Amino acid sequence: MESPLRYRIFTVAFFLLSLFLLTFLPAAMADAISVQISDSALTTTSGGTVTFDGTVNNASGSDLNASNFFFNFFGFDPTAVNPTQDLGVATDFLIPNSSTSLDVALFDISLGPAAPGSTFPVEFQLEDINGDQSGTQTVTVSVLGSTPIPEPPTAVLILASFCAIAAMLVKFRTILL
Amino acid sequence: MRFDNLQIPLSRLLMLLVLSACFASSPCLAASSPVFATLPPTSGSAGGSFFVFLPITNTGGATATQIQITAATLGPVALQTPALPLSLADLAPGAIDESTLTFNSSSLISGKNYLLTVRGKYQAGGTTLGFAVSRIITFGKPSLFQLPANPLTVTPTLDSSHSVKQPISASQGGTLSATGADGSVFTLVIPPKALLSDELITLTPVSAITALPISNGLLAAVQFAPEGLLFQQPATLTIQPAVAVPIPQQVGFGYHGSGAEFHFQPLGLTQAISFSLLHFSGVGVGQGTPGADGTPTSALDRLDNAEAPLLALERQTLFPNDPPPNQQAQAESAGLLQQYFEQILQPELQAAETNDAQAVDAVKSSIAFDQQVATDPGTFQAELNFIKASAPLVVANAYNDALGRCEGDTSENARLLEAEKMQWLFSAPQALGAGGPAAFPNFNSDLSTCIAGPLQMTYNTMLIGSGVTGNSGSLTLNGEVDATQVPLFFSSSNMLYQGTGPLIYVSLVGVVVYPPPAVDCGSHFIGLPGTIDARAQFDLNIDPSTIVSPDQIPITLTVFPNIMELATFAALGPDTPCTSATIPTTLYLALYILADGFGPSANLFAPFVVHLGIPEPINLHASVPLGGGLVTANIVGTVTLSPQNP
Repeated sequence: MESPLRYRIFTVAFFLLSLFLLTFLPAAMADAISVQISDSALTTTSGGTVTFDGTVNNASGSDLNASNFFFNFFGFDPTAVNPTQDLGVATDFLIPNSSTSLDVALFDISLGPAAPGSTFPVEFQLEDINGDQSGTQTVTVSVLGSTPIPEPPTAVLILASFCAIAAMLVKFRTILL
Repeated sequence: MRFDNLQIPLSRLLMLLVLSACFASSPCLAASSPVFATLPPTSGSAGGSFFVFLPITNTGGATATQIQITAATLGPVALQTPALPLSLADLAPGAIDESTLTFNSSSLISGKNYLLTVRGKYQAGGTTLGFAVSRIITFGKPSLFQLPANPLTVTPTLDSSHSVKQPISASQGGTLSATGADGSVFTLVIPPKALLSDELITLTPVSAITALPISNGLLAAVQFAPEGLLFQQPATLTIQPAVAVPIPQQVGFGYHGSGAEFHFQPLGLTQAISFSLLHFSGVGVGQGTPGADGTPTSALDRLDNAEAPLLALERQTLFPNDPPPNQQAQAESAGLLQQYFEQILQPELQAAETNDAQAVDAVKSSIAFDQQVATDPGTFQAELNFIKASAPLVVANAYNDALGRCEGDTSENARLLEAEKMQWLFSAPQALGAGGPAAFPNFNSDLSTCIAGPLQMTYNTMLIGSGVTGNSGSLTLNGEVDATQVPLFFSSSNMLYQGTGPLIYVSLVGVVVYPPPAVDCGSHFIGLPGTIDARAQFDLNIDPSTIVSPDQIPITLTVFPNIMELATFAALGPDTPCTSATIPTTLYLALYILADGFGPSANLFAPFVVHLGIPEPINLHASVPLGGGLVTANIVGTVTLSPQNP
């Protein structure tokens, strides 16, 4: 069995590594293009349509038009969900390199006949004409009629993670001392 | 609280922390399920339709199975073809499958952007899920094949002193090799049946090219003859340059004639520098990066031009590490082929089904397309099926038109023009499963009807030969042999003209110098009557679309001169009277064979390519050391083939 001291060192090293990964890895893996959805959980009636708004960040290295971006959707219920891109279709505009667009309509999701209270997740990814791809994200469309149970958004998960890190830091200081 | 007591819960908490952060980020999500995306599509108008060749890929971490496209729209326009639902191949992570979507273009406005949405479903983890991919496409943008021609011309300098000429049998194929002055080696391998008739092929190394649009200039190039020769299946040229250059620095190119229509040409997916050739002219490899290249006139050259950088990418990833092929380059290349089919080949075939003037181009283009997609026939099955259905109609229409014109023509010249075309239409489309005896069971009688009269051959050569011995003796011959209007009759069974006629010496003078102290005392030579056999066949390898008048019909002619002399040798020695001996000799024949280079391979006599009514120069020269001396042979003259009743 390992000595308590050795195990303590190992635990601290593991903790530091985790902290490093959490701090620097996301930056290192930053996408060349990304999309921020204003509200990723919308509600409509059966047969209704919702529009997801948001911004597009262009860090691809070249200026791009809105019509140079394409939304790809997957992982949804094909019998009830019909996603359609809005970005760059009706109006085109420039998104210079290293800039973020205004908040605009990104895509619509139309529902077929659906039971009240049901929720439909839709995964999506943005790509551009140069082949750059954003990370995948999920939006949900709920049908009015009962209170849907929302899925914890990604931001909440990350926030919880950092709260945990903060808590560990307090402990960590105690250990070193 | 002691920290030691928290050892296990802490580590578990940390792992949970890392995992939760990971699952909140895209890479972990992407790794667990299929992610649908598209690669750059190829699009264009053809007739009243607008087609989009769309590669769909899976960038996720799991395989999508049972994929079906269930809907596709281009702005307000619904899909025309294919019928839906359309099944795609299963997409493993990184895999690509392509679909050609066709829309009615009548309501689309040129220059306007349209949203392409392709919807469908797939299975992953036992669940049926949906996908929808998007692209915004501009309608009416001229494609590669619709741009106006703006060809680039380069100027090659040929190194004729290192050229190699060799007859190649159509049935057996063959290999030619030439070495340039700098040591670059060019090897051309022609497979059996790649040629429609035996051919005399010349490889001439190119020593320099001016205005070559490659950053570090020429590495090695070679010019082929005859210009415009077509192969029914690819011949392979391998170039071994004198200087080794890394693969990313190798840039293939080609041109026509004496440097016209420069275009980049794909290098084969081999470690050696190789080209797959379907026609003749100049081909080479430069060093560095490609520059501005113009827009060639021919659609096939444009296709080569556009495919060259894609195949270069594929080649760079294949060697030397042999990783998986570059699928994106493959998909883009497939898109170009699709565009070529939709905008060039399909309209050509459709028009040629009723217009024989377009038949040759349609067949040529089809053979080229067939070869281009040979490594990926599955993607182009519908297109190959179209060719298979259309080519027989094209060929039958053109053949029957040619036969009809031939039967109505009174001029033998005009009939020969049609006969040449009929033979090509009988032979060449067999590569596409059209033509041949099955399509034209009366071919032999058709051709016999068409070719009514014989050709006649006139052959006239001067012989200048000398032999010098190592002990100051010599023999010099000057003569002229002639054959006039030798009739050659056509046999449709083997598509050959054959005939025999008299060959005579018009003059013959010989001078003998004996080694001292002997002297000549009346040696003389008498030419005896002989015969000449000749065999001629239409050169079916030359692009028939370039032959528009009878004097452009290329005919491969092989002659077999069979003539003897009566030589009287008379010598006077210091202590002996003049003594003579008369013997029959075959000096003309021996010197002819010597001058002809002993004829390559199995052919003792190399063929000439002649054109009707035009005297073809004969210039055969050789000097061969023999027994301490030197034999020199020169046969200079002309041979002419003409219809007996033009």
